Amino acid sequence: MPGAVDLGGASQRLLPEHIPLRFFGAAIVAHIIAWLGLALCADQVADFAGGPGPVVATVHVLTLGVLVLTAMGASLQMLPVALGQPIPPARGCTAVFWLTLAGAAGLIGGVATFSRPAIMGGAAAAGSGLMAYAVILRGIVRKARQPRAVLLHVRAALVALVLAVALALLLSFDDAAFILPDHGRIAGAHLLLAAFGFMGMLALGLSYVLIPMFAMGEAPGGWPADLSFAIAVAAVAAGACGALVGQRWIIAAAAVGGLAGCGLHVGLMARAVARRMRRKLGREFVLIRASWALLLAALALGLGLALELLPSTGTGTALFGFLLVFGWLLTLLTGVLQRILPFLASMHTARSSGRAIAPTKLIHDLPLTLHRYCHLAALALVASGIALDVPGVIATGAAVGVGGAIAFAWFAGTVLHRTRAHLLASAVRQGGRV
Amino acid sequence: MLAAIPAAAGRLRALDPALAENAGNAAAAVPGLTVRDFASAAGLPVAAVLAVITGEAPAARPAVGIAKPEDDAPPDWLERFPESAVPAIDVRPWLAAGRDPFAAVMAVAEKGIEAGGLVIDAPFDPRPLRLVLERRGFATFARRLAAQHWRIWCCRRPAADATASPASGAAIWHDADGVHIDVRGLPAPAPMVAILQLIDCGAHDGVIVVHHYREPTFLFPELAERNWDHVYLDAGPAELRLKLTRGPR
Repeated sequence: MPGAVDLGGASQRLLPEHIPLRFFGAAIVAHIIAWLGLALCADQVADFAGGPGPVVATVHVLTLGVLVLTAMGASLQMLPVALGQPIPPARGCTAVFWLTLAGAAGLIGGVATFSRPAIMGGAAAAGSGLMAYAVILRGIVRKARQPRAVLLHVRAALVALVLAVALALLLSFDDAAFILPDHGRIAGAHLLLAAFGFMGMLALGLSYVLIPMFAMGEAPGGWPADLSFAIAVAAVAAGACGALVGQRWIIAAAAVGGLAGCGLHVGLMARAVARRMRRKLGREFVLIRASWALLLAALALGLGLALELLPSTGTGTALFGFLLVFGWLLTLLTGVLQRILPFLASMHTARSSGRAIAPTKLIHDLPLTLHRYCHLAALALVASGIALDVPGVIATGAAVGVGGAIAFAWFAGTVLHRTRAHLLASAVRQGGRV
Repeated sequence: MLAAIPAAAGRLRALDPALAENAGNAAAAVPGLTVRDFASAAGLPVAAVLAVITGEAPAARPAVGIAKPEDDAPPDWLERFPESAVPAIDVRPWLAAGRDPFAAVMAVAEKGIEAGGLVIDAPFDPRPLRLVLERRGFATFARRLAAQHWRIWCCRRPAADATASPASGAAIWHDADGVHIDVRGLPAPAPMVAILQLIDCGAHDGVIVVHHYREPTFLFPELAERNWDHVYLDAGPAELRLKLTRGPR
């Protein structure tokens, strides 16, 4: 029970519960829609050659709707705690959420229906939300001094975010005005900056806090972490430049660098996990470890594409994109989210009721198990379907993915329901108002 | 902390004029210098020094209750300590001049990592500095050699000892009210990991006092998982102190 002790503002590091809940709630719904979209456009995936349409719309449901919204909710809540900084203003977070959500909806709808005004309007709104988020995130990391590895990665992610948004705006306006000399190159650079630059750097940086926290181990640091960061940043920069100028050898060098940097990162994380003090790892590590393998697989595939060892259009590109966003990023995200959702809920119960409820009491294992099996099966099926160019297998895999996403929503709903029940019971015990 | 009590130097002068002068300079230079450090250096009980500072006792050296300068037995490593082969620094002139010797000590400590240790001469037992050095992988031992002259031997712990444990960065000690752990200065998630390691290793009686620099928000779910409670304790503005207690089984 907290006493009357001045915490020096330290207790103000939790956002109001509804703010992260909004981000995660929207992402969980978008998660279902993304797999559903993939099932509906299964016959177009393996032959995807770029441009607006259902495939790009589905990709943006996943990237903007799931990955970005989750990254926003997690970073706005977790980073101030991890870095010892004040929480961002609630109004700012709310504005970021609605701008990004409305923009994403407009953009995705426009891409799916080939509506240029919707694409431009959606891109402008989503871009505004992302820039507002960048400003808020910049405020969080500006005065922080440690952990160094986290700060380096987050700052690099911010730079990549600004560049990715700028390119996205150019692409959206090019759909109407045809101002770009080579739309495909800009789209490639946008993909690399958004996926590896923004989401990737954020994921790598947050891993320096989350993985040791989940495993209860020493956070990696020192020169190996610096080296991993330096190589990864150089690889992203080289990859984006290579895509812009259309030089395959630069992209290949970037892929080699990416493999080296990410390989070192994965090695550092694996060593932290191996030297943990928690005897039994949580089930989330099945997905987290799978995501590490998928990251390296995506990079290796990217290298093969750059060296023209694989066809650079159609199947090869589609498989690369799938392994990158559905494979690495979505797998890592759902692995992390299944741990931090009950963790954050427990942190909020500590603030609201004085005593935290144990996170394990908020978890229902069955939906998590269902999600894990469905997700991994869906990845295997869809990847096989793309590689073999069999739309039926892609559709089946995506349908299994829908099942996994629904199970994940069931898990999240259970966490929410049990948290509310705990707070209600605490309020009743204390005789207060609910 | 002495720096937070401007009137302390005047009152303490009656107890030990030369030491009070040194302590006043040191308090200005080293913000972490505590009443406990002064009491230790003067060979007096902390309560007696506090009573003089607060005016509850006359500003005169008490005739009874003299504390032993160093209660701890010398550690085993002290016999084998290569005193002539390690770098040394005497911070007494620095403190007398009101200058902060911290950076110089840290520079010597860097050399001491290679040499296997270092020796510090000081006018008192610099406990905050010893904590910093212990976090950097040194085992320390202090002994009063003469009035206003303490020697601190700092022996580099083997690398395996210093890094094998996630809690290696945290200072841990036993006190009457339980086991204390100081995680200030550690980056996230090291404080949480160090505290949980202490809880899980069982080297306590169900009470742990945590010295932190901010509210350990990530810790509370893990405490709930282990059925531990927390209570905030009064501490200075630069510290957040929590008492963790094991809940009923």
